[in-house]
Amino acid sequence: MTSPTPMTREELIELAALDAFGLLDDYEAALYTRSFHHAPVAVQNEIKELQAAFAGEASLLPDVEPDPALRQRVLDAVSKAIEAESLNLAPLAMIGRPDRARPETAGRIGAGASTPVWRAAAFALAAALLVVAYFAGQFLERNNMLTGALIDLDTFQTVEDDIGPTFKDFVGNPTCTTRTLFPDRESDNDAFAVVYVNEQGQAFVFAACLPCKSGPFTVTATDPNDGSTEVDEQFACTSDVSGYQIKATLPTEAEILGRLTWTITDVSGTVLLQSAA
Amino acid sequence: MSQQDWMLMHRVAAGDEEAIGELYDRFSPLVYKVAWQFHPSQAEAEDAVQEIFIRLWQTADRFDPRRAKLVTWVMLIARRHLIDRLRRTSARPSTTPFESDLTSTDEPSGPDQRPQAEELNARLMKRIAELPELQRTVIERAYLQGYTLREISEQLEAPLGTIKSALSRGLSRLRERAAGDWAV
Repeated sequence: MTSPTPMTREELIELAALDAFGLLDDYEAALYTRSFHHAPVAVQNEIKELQAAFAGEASLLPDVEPDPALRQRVLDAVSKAIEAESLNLAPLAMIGRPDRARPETAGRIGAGASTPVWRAAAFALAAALLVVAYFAGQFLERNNMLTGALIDLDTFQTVEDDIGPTFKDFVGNPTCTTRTLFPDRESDNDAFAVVYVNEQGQAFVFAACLPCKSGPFTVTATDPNDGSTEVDEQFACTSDVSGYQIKATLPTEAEILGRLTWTITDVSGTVLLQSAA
Repeated sequence: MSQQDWMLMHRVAAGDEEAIGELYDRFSPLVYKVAWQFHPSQAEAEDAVQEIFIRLWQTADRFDPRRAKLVTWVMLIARRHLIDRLRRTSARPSTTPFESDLTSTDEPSGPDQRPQAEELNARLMKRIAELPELQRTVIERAYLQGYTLREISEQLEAPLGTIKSALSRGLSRLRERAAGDWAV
Protein backbone atom coordinates (compact mmCIF):
# COMPACT_ATOMS: atom_id res chain seq x y z
CA MET A 1 0.00 0.00 0.00
CA THR A 2 1.50 3.32 -1.01
CA SER A 3 0.61 6.63 0.57
CA PRO A 4 -0.54 9.43 -1.72
CA THR A 5 1.87 12.30 -2.27
CA PRO A 6 1.39 14.99 0.39
CA MET A 7 -0.24 18.21 -0.80
CA THR A 8 1.97 21.18 -1.60
CA ARG A 9 1.83 24.44 0.36
CA GLU A 10 -0.30 25.99 -2.41
CA GLU A 11 -2.79 23.12 -2.30
CA LEU A 12 -2.95 23.31 1.47
CA ILE A 13 -3.63 27.05 1.31
CA GLU A 14 -6.24 26.67 -1.44
CA LEU A 15 -8.18 24.06 0.52
CA ALA A 16 -7.69 25.69 3.94
CA ALA A 17 -11.16 27.22 4.03
CA LEU A 18 -12.86 24.01 2.89
CA ASP A 19 -11.01 22.05 5.55
CA ALA A 20 -11.92 24.63 8.21
CA PHE A 21 -15.61 24.41 7.27
CA GLY A 22 -15.55 20.60 7.13
CA LEU A 23 -16.43 20.58 3.43
CA LEU A 24 -13.79 18.07 2.29
CA ASP A 25 -14.83 14.46 1.96
CA ASP A 26 -13.34 11.88 4.32
CA TYR A 27 -10.51 10.82 2.02
CA GLU A 28 -9.46 14.38 1.22
CA ALA A 29 -9.77 15.47 4.82
CA ALA A 30 -7.46 12.62 5.87
CA LEU A 31 -4.99 13.52 3.10
CA TYR A 32 -5.19 17.18 4.11
CA THR A 33 -4.43 16.37 7.74
CA ARG A 34 -1.58 14.07 6.78
CA SER A 35 -0.13 16.73 4.45
CA PHE A 36 -0.54 19.37 7.14
CA HIS A 37 1.55 17.30 9.54
CA HIS A 38 4.22 16.82 6.86
CA ALA A 39 4.40 20.57 6.17
CA PRO A 40 7.03 22.83 7.79
CA VAL A 41 5.94 24.48 11.02
CA ALA A 42 5.82 27.92 9.34
CA VAL A 43 3.33 26.61 6.77
CA GLN A 44 1.30 24.90 9.51
CA ASN A 45 1.11 28.20 11.40
CA GLU A 46 0.13 30.06 8.22
CA ILE A 47 -2.70 27.59 7.60
CA LYS A 48 -3.87 27.70 11.21
CA GLU A 49 -4.04 31.50 11.09
CA LEU A 50 -5.89 31.45 7.76
CA GLN A 51 -8.41 28.86 8.94
CA ALA A 52 -9.02 30.74 12.20
CA ALA A 53 -9.65 33.92 10.18
CA PHE A 54 -12.21 32.09 8.03
CA ALA A 55 -13.86 30.34 10.98
CA GLY A 56 -14.11 33.51 13.06
CA GLU A 57 -15.23 35.76 10.20
CA ALA A 58 -18.41 37.21 11.64
CA SER A 59 -19.10 39.28 8.55
CA LEU A 60 -20.05 36.09 6.70
CA LEU A 61 -22.67 35.37 9.37
CA PRO A 62 -25.97 37.02 10.31
CA ASP A 63 -25.62 39.83 12.80
CA VAL A 64 -27.63 38.46 15.70
CA GLU A 65 -26.68 38.07 19.36
CA PRO A 66 -27.76 35.36 21.80
CA ASP A 67 -30.19 36.17 24.58
CA PRO A 68 -28.24 36.52 27.88
CA ALA A 69 -30.56 33.94 29.47
CA LEU A 70 -29.32 31.34 27.00
CA ARG A 71 -26.03 30.96 28.90
CA GLN A 72 -27.60 29.28 31.91
CA ARG A 73 -29.83 27.11 29.72
CA VAL A 74 -26.79 25.86 27.81
CA LEU A 75 -24.82 25.17 31.00
CA ASP A 76 -27.79 23.28 32.44
CA ALA A 77 -28.19 21.27 29.25
CA VAL A 78 -24.50 20.30 29.22
CA SER A 79 -24.65 19.45 32.91
CA LYS A 80 -27.65 17.19 32.29
CA ALA A 81 -25.88 15.46 29.40
CA ILE A 82 -22.81 14.85 31.55
CA GLU A 83 -24.93 13.49 34.35
CA ALA A 84 -26.81 11.21 31.94
CA GLU A 85 -23.61 9.83 30.46
CA SER A 86 -22.12 9.41 33.89
CA LEU A 87 -25.07 7.25 34.96
CA ASN A 88 -25.00 5.39 31.68
CA LEU A 89 -21.31 4.59 31.89
CA ALA A 90 -21.11 3.73 35.54
CA PRO A 91 -23.81 1.40 36.80
CA LEU A 92 -21.45 0.46 39.63
CA ALA A 93 -21.02 4.08 40.47
CA MET A 94 -23.63 4.14 43.19
CA ILE A 95 -20.64 3.76 45.52
CA GLY A 96 -18.90 6.62 43.85
CA ARG A 97 -21.46 9.12 42.63
CA PRO A 98 -20.30 12.69 42.91
CA ASP A 99 -21.75 14.38 45.95
CA ARG A 100 -22.57 17.88 44.82
CA ALA A 101 -22.98 19.07 48.38
CA ARG A 102 -19.36 18.39 49.17
CA PRO A 103 -17.11 21.38 48.66
CA GLU A 104 -14.32 19.42 46.96
CA THR A 105 -16.63 18.38 44.14
CA ALA A 106 -18.42 21.68 43.75
CA GLY A 107 -17.92 23.16 40.31
CA ARG A 108 -17.18 19.76 38.75
CA ILE A 109 -19.93 17.79 37.16
CA GLY A 110 -20.38 14.28 35.87
CA ALA A 111 -17.76 11.60 35.29
CA GLY A 112 -14.81 13.83 36.09
CA ALA A 113 -15.85 14.19 39.71
CA SER A 114 -14.64 10.89 41.16
CA THR A 115 -14.86 10.26 44.84
CA PRO A 116 -11.90 9.11 46.92
CA VAL A 117 -13.34 5.56 46.82
CA TRP A 118 -13.34 5.71 43.07
CA ARG A 119 -9.79 6.98 42.97
CA ALA A 120 -8.67 4.34 45.41
CA ALA A 121 -10.15 1.63 43.19
CA ALA A 122 -8.30 3.03 40.19
CA PHE A 123 -5.10 3.21 42.17
CA ALA A 124 -5.48 -0.40 43.30
CA LEU A 125 -6.00 -1.41 39.70
CA ALA A 126 -2.91 0.48 38.63
CA ALA A 127 -0.88 -1.24 41.33
CA ALA A 128 -2.18 -4.65 40.27
CA LEU A 129 -1.30 -3.92 36.67
CA LEU A 130 2.13 -2.75 37.64
CA VAL A 131 2.81 -6.02 39.43
CA VAL A 132 1.55 -7.98 36.43
CA ALA A 133 3.69 -5.94 34.09
CA TYR A 134 6.88 -6.34 36.03
CA PHE A 135 6.58 -10.04 36.74
CA ALA A 136 5.43 -11.24 33.36
CA GLY A 137 8.06 -12.89 31.17
CA GLN A 138 8.16 -12.09 27.47
CA PHE A 139 6.79 -8.83 26.05
CA LEU A 140 3.96 -10.55 24.20
CA GLU A 141 2.97 -12.65 27.20
CA ARG A 142 3.12 -9.52 29.29
CA ASN A 143 0.72 -7.72 26.99
CA ASN A 144 -1.68 -10.64 26.98
CA MET A 145 -1.58 -10.86 30.75
CA LEU A 146 -2.20 -7.14 31.04
CA THR A 147 -5.17 -7.46 28.74
CA GLY A 148 -6.48 -10.46 30.64
CA ALA A 149 -6.08 -8.74 33.96
CA LEU A 150 -7.93 -5.71 32.72
CA ILE A 151 -10.79 -7.68 31.23
CA ASP A 152 -11.26 -9.87 34.29
CA LEU A 153 -11.22 -7.17 36.90
CA ASP A 154 -14.50 -6.23 38.54
CA THR A 155 -13.42 -2.64 38.48
CA PHE A 156 -13.40 -2.56 34.70
CA GLN A 157 -16.10 0.09 34.77
CA THR A 158 -13.93 2.18 37.02
CA VAL A 159 -11.17 2.20 34.45
CA GLU A 160 -13.64 3.06 31.74
CA ASP A 161 -14.88 6.02 33.74
CA ASP A 162 -11.39 7.29 34.21
CA ILE A 163 -10.05 6.84 30.73
CA GLY A 164 -13.07 6.74 28.47
CA PRO A 165 -15.38 4.18 26.86
CA THR A 166 -13.14 3.61 23.82
CA PHE A 167 -10.82 1.75 26.16
CA LYS A 168 -12.80 -1.50 25.82
CA ASP A 169 -12.74 -1.36 22.02
CA PHE A 170 -9.00 -1.76 22.10
CA VAL A 171 -8.10 -3.62 25.27
CA GLY A 172 -10.77 -6.25 24.75
CA ASN A 173 -10.06 -6.59 21.04
CA PRO A 174 -8.03 -9.73 20.28
CA THR A 175 -7.15 -8.51 16.79
CA CYS A 176 -5.22 -5.52 18.13
CA THR A 177 -1.45 -5.57 17.99
CA THR A 178 0.27 -4.29 21.12
CA ARG A 179 3.53 -2.62 22.06
CA THR A 180 4.68 -2.12 25.61
CA LEU A 181 6.58 0.99 26.68
CA PHE A 182 8.89 0.84 29.69
CA PRO A 183 11.07 3.33 31.52
CA ASP A 184 14.80 3.25 31.05
CA ARG A 185 16.38 0.59 33.29
CA GLU A 186 18.23 3.25 35.26
CA SER A 187 15.13 5.39 35.69
CA ASP A 188 13.33 5.37 39.01
CA ASN A 189 9.86 5.97 37.55
CA ASP A 190 7.34 3.15 37.91
CA ALA A 191 5.23 4.01 34.89
CA PHE A 192 4.47 1.80 31.94
CA ALA A 193 2.20 1.98 28.92
CA VAL A 194 0.72 -0.31 26.31
CA VAL A 195 -0.17 0.86 22.81
CA TYR A 196 -2.99 -1.02 21.09
CA VAL A 197 -3.44 -0.75 17.31
CA ASN A 198 -6.54 -2.23 15.69
CA GLU A 199 -6.98 -3.54 12.16
CA GLN A 200 -8.06 -0.14 10.89
CA GLY A 201 -4.85 1.51 12.11
CA GLN A 202 -6.60 3.26 15.00
CA ALA A 203 -4.50 3.27 18.15
CA PHE A 204 -5.03 3.67 21.86
CA VAL A 205 -2.39 4.21 24.50
CA PHE A 206 -3.05 2.95 27.99
CA ALA A 207 -0.66 4.24 30.66
CA ALA A 208 -0.28 3.67 34.37
CA CYS A 209 1.59 5.57 37.05
CA LEU A 210 2.64 8.48 34.85
CA PRO A 211 3.66 11.50 36.94
CA CYS A 212 0.59 13.60 36.05
CA LYS A 213 2.16 16.84 37.24
CA SER A 214 4.83 16.48 34.55
CA GLY A 215 2.20 16.51 31.78
CA PRO A 216 0.98 17.14 29.22
CA PHE A 217 2.74 14.14 27.74
CA THR A 218 3.71 13.62 24.14
CA VAL A 219 3.37 10.22 22.54
CA THR A 220 5.37 9.67 19.37
CA ALA A 221 5.85 6.81 16.97
CA THR A 222 8.66 7.01 14.44
CA ASP A 223 9.74 4.66 11.72
CA PRO A 224 13.51 4.14 12.11
CA ASN A 225 13.78 3.12 8.44
CA ASP A 226 12.97 6.53 7.01
CA GLY A 227 12.73 8.71 10.10
CA SER A 228 9.08 9.53 9.39
CA THR A 229 6.84 10.41 12.31
CA GLU A 230 3.56 8.51 12.33
CA VAL A 231 2.30 9.85 15.66
CA ASP A 232 3.15 13.04 17.54
CA GLU A 233 0.31 13.91 19.88
CA GLN A 234 -0.28 15.23 23.36
CA PHE A 235 -2.36 13.86 26.18
CA ALA A 236 -2.80 14.48 29.87
CA CYS A 237 -3.52 12.28 32.85
CA THR A 238 -5.57 13.02 35.92
CA SER A 239 -5.09 9.79 37.82
CA ASP A 240 -2.80 6.80 38.06
CA VAL A 241 -4.51 5.16 35.13
CA SER A 242 -4.92 7.09 31.93
CA GLY A 243 -5.83 6.40 28.35
CA TYR A 244 -5.75 8.31 25.13
CA GLN A 245 -7.08 7.47 21.69
CA ILE A 246 -4.51 8.51 19.12
CA LYS A 247 -5.92 10.71 16.38
CA ALA A 248 -3.49 9.71 13.63
CA THR A 249 -4.25 6.63 11.61
CA LEU A 250 -1.33 4.24 11.57
CA PRO A 251 -0.19 1.97 8.77
CA THR A 252 -1.77 -1.44 9.18
CA GLU A 253 1.12 -3.54 7.85
CA ALA A 254 2.49 -5.72 10.65
CA GLU A 255 6.05 -5.19 9.43
CA ILE A 256 5.82 -1.40 9.75
CA LEU A 257 3.96 -1.54 13.06
CA GLY A 258 6.57 -3.89 14.45
CA ARG A 259 9.47 -1.59 13.73
CA LEU A 260 7.92 1.67 14.97
CA THR A 261 9.71 3.22 17.92
CA TRP A 262 7.25 4.55 20.49
CA THR A 263 8.12 7.09 23.18
CA ILE A 264 6.25 9.05 25.81
CA THR A 265 7.92 12.27 26.94
CA ASP A 266 6.93 14.72 29.64
CA VAL A 267 6.38 18.46 29.19
CA SER A 268 10.13 19.15 29.44
CA GLY A 269 10.91 16.65 26.68
CA THR A 270 12.36 14.01 29.00
CA VAL A 271 11.70 10.51 27.68
CA LEU A 272 9.71 8.66 30.36
CA LEU A 273 8.82 5.51 28.45
CA GLN A 274 9.91 3.88 25.25
CA SER A 275 9.25 0.71 23.34
CA ALA A 276 11.80 -2.06 23.27
CA ALA A 277 13.92 -2.24 20.11
CA MET B 1 -2.68 30.72 23.89
CA SER B 2 -2.79 27.30 22.23
CA GLN B 3 -1.54 25.61 25.38
CA GLN B 4 -4.16 27.51 27.41
CA ASP B 5 -6.82 26.48 24.90
CA TRP B 6 -5.69 22.88 25.16
CA MET B 7 -5.94 23.03 28.95
CA LEU B 8 -9.36 24.67 28.67
CA MET B 9 -10.64 21.86 26.46
CA HIS B 10 -9.08 19.28 28.75
CA ARG B 11 -11.10 20.81 31.61
CA VAL B 12 -14.22 20.92 29.44
CA ALA B 13 -13.77 17.22 28.65
CA ALA B 14 -13.56 16.52 32.38
CA GLY B 15 -16.89 18.26 32.93
CA ASP B 16 -15.51 21.34 34.66
CA GLU B 17 -18.49 23.71 34.85
CA GLU B 18 -16.32 26.82 35.01
CA ALA B 19 -14.43 25.77 31.88
CA ILE B 20 -17.67 25.09 30.01
CA GLY B 21 -18.84 28.57 31.03
CA GLU B 22 -15.59 30.06 29.75
CA LEU B 23 -15.96 28.22 26.46
CA TYR B 24 -19.53 29.53 26.17
CA ASP B 25 -18.49 33.11 26.93
CA ARG B 26 -15.78 33.05 24.28
CA PHE B 27 -17.65 31.37 21.46
CA SER B 28 -21.40 31.66 21.98
CA PRO B 29 -21.75 34.84 19.86
CA LEU B 30 -20.20 33.10 16.85
CA VAL B 31 -21.95 29.79 17.49
CA TYR B 32 -25.29 31.56 17.81
CA LYS B 33 -24.73 33.41 14.53
CA VAL B 34 -23.95 30.23 12.63
CA ALA B 35 -26.88 28.43 14.29
CA TRP B 36 -29.16 31.27 13.17
CA GLN B 37 -27.73 31.02 9.66
CA PHE B 38 -28.91 27.40 9.47
CA HIS B 39 -32.05 27.83 11.61
CA PRO B 40 -33.24 31.42 11.32
CA SER B 41 -35.56 31.56 14.31
CA GLN B 42 -34.63 32.31 17.89
CA ALA B 43 -36.12 29.12 19.35
CA GLU B 44 -34.49 26.78 16.85
CA ALA B 45 -31.15 28.59 16.95
CA GLU B 46 -31.12 28.37 20.75
CA ASP B 47 -31.91 24.65 20.69
CA ALA B 48 -29.10 24.16 18.20
CA VAL B 49 -26.66 26.14 20.37
CA GLN B 50 -27.47 23.90 23.35
CA GLU B 51 -26.84 20.80 21.27
CA ILE B 52 -23.60 22.23 19.89
CA PHE B 53 -22.18 22.90 23.36
CA ILE B 54 -23.06 19.36 24.40
CA ARG B 55 -21.25 18.16 21.28
CA LEU B 56 -18.27 20.37 22.17
CA TRP B 57 -18.11 18.76 25.59
CA GLN B 58 -18.29 15.28 24.00
CA THR B 59 -15.47 16.03 21.55
CA ALA B 60 -13.31 18.29 23.73
CA ASP B 61 -10.63 15.67 24.25
CA ARG B 62 -10.05 15.46 20.51
CA PHE B 63 -9.01 19.10 20.18
CA ASP B 64 -5.37 19.33 19.08
CA PRO B 65 -3.94 22.87 19.19
CA ARG B 66 -1.15 21.87 16.84
CA ARG B 67 -3.69 21.05 14.12
CA ALA B 68 -6.04 24.03 14.46
CA LYS B 69 -6.88 27.03 16.58
CA LEU B 70 -9.74 26.66 19.00
CA VAL B 71 -12.06 28.95 17.06
CA THR B 72 -11.60 26.76 13.98
CA TRP B 73 -12.34 23.63 15.99
CA VAL B 74 -15.42 25.10 17.66
CA MET B 75 -16.88 26.35 14.40
CA LEU B 76 -16.13 23.06 12.64
CA ILE B 77 -17.98 21.10 15.31
CA ALA B 78 -20.81 23.64 15.16
CA ARG B 79 -21.16 23.46 11.38
CA ARG B 80 -21.01 19.66 11.31
CA HIS B 81 -23.71 19.47 13.95
CA LEU B 82 -25.91 21.96 12.13
CA ILE B 83 -25.54 20.09 8.85
CA ASP B 84 -26.39 16.80 10.59
CA ARG B 85 -29.39 18.53 12.18
CA LEU B 86 -30.56 19.77 8.79
CA ARG B 87 -30.21 16.29 7.34
CA ARG B 88 -32.16 14.78 10.24
CA THR B 89 -35.02 17.15 9.64
CA SER B 90 -34.69 16.74 5.85
CA ALA B 91 -35.00 20.47 5.47
CA ARG B 92 -32.60 22.98 4.02
CA PRO B 93 -32.68 26.72 4.39
CA SER B 94 -33.71 28.54 1.28
CA THR B 95 -31.10 29.90 -1.08
CA THR B 96 -31.75 33.37 0.28
CA PRO B 97 -32.05 32.51 3.93
CA PHE B 98 -31.50 35.89 5.50
CA GLU B 99 -33.65 38.06 3.30
CA SER B 100 -36.63 35.77 3.35
CA ASP B 101 -36.49 34.51 6.89
CA LEU B 102 -35.72 37.74 8.64
CA THR B 103 -38.83 39.32 7.24
CA SER B 104 -41.09 36.37 7.92
CA THR B 105 -42.60 35.11 11.16
CA ASP B 106 -39.45 34.67 13.22
CA GLU B 107 -39.11 36.17 16.62
CA PRO B 108 -36.42 38.84 16.83
CA SER B 109 -33.53 38.02 19.16
CA GLY B 110 -33.49 41.55 20.53
CA PRO B 111 -35.50 44.72 20.12
CA ASP B 112 -32.89 46.62 18.14
CA GLN B 113 -31.29 43.77 16.28
CA ARG B 114 -33.66 43.22 13.36
CA PRO B 115 -32.94 46.37 11.30
CA GLN B 116 -29.19 46.05 11.81
CA ALA B 117 -29.26 42.33 11.05
CA GLU B 118 -31.34 42.93 7.93
CA GLU B 119 -28.92 45.55 6.69
CA LEU B 120 -25.82 43.45 7.29
CA ASN B 121 -27.36 40.29 5.93
CA ALA B 122 -28.52 42.15 2.87
CA ARG B 123 -24.93 43.30 2.38
CA LEU B 124 -23.71 39.72 2.67
CA MET B 125 -26.33 38.49 0.20
CA LYS B 126 -25.38 41.32 -2.13
CA ARG B 127 -21.73 40.32 -1.94
CA ILE B 128 -22.69 36.71 -2.66
CA ALA B 129 -24.88 37.84 -5.53
CA GLU B 130 -21.94 39.70 -7.07
CA LEU B 131 -19.83 36.56 -7.28
CA PRO B 132 -19.49 34.66 -10.57
CA GLU B 133 -22.44 32.32 -11.03
CA LEU B 134 -20.70 29.05 -10.22
CA GLN B 135 -19.05 30.46 -7.08
CA ARG B 136 -22.39 31.91 -5.96
CA THR B 137 -24.26 28.67 -6.49
CA VAL B 138 -21.63 26.56 -4.78
CA ILE B 139 -21.43 28.90 -1.77
CA GLU B 140 -25.19 28.95 -1.38
CA ARG B 141 -25.41 25.18 -1.48
CA ALA B 142 -22.31 24.22 0.51
CA TYR B 143 -21.77 27.05 2.95
CA LEU B 144 -25.35 28.12 3.55
CA GLN B 145 -27.33 24.93 2.95
CA GLY B 146 -24.91 22.23 4.08
CA TYR B 147 -24.74 20.15 0.91
CA THR B 148 -21.50 18.19 0.48
CA LEU B 149 -19.23 19.05 -2.41
CA ARG B 150 -19.96 15.65 -3.93
CA GLU B 151 -23.72 16.32 -3.81
CA ILE B 152 -23.22 19.70 -5.47
CA SER B 153 -20.97 18.13 -8.08
CA GLU B 154 -23.76 15.70 -8.92
CA GLN B 155 -26.47 18.36 -8.85
CA LEU B 156 -24.54 20.65 -11.20
CA GLU B 157 -23.00 17.81 -13.21
CA ALA B 158 -19.60 19.44 -12.81
CA PRO B 159 -16.28 17.83 -11.83
CA LEU B 160 -15.61 17.74 -8.11
CA GLY B 161 -12.34 19.67 -8.55
CA THR B 162 -14.21 22.51 -10.27
CA ILE B 163 -16.71 22.72 -7.41
CA LYS B 164 -13.92 22.68 -4.86
CA SER B 165 -12.01 25.49 -6.57
CA ALA B 166 -15.16 27.56 -7.03
CA LEU B 167 -16.04 27.31 -3.36
CA SER B 168 -12.53 28.03 -2.18
CA ARG B 169 -12.19 31.08 -4.43
CA GLY B 170 -15.68 32.31 -3.65
CA LEU B 171 -15.09 32.15 0.11
CA SER B 172 -11.74 33.94 -0.24
CA ARG B 173 -13.32 36.63 -2.38
CA LEU B 174 -16.19 37.12 0.07
CA ARG B 175 -13.77 37.45 2.92
CA GLU B 176 -11.66 40.00 1.05
CA ARG B 177 -14.76 42.04 0.21
CA ALA B 178 -15.97 41.85 3.78
CA ALA B 179 -12.60 43.17 4.97
CA GLY B 180 -12.96 45.97 2.43
CA ASP B 181 -16.41 46.84 3.76
CA TRP B 182 -15.16 47.11 7.31
CA ALA B 183 -12.23 49.26 6.21
CA VAL B 184 -14.60 51.79 4.57
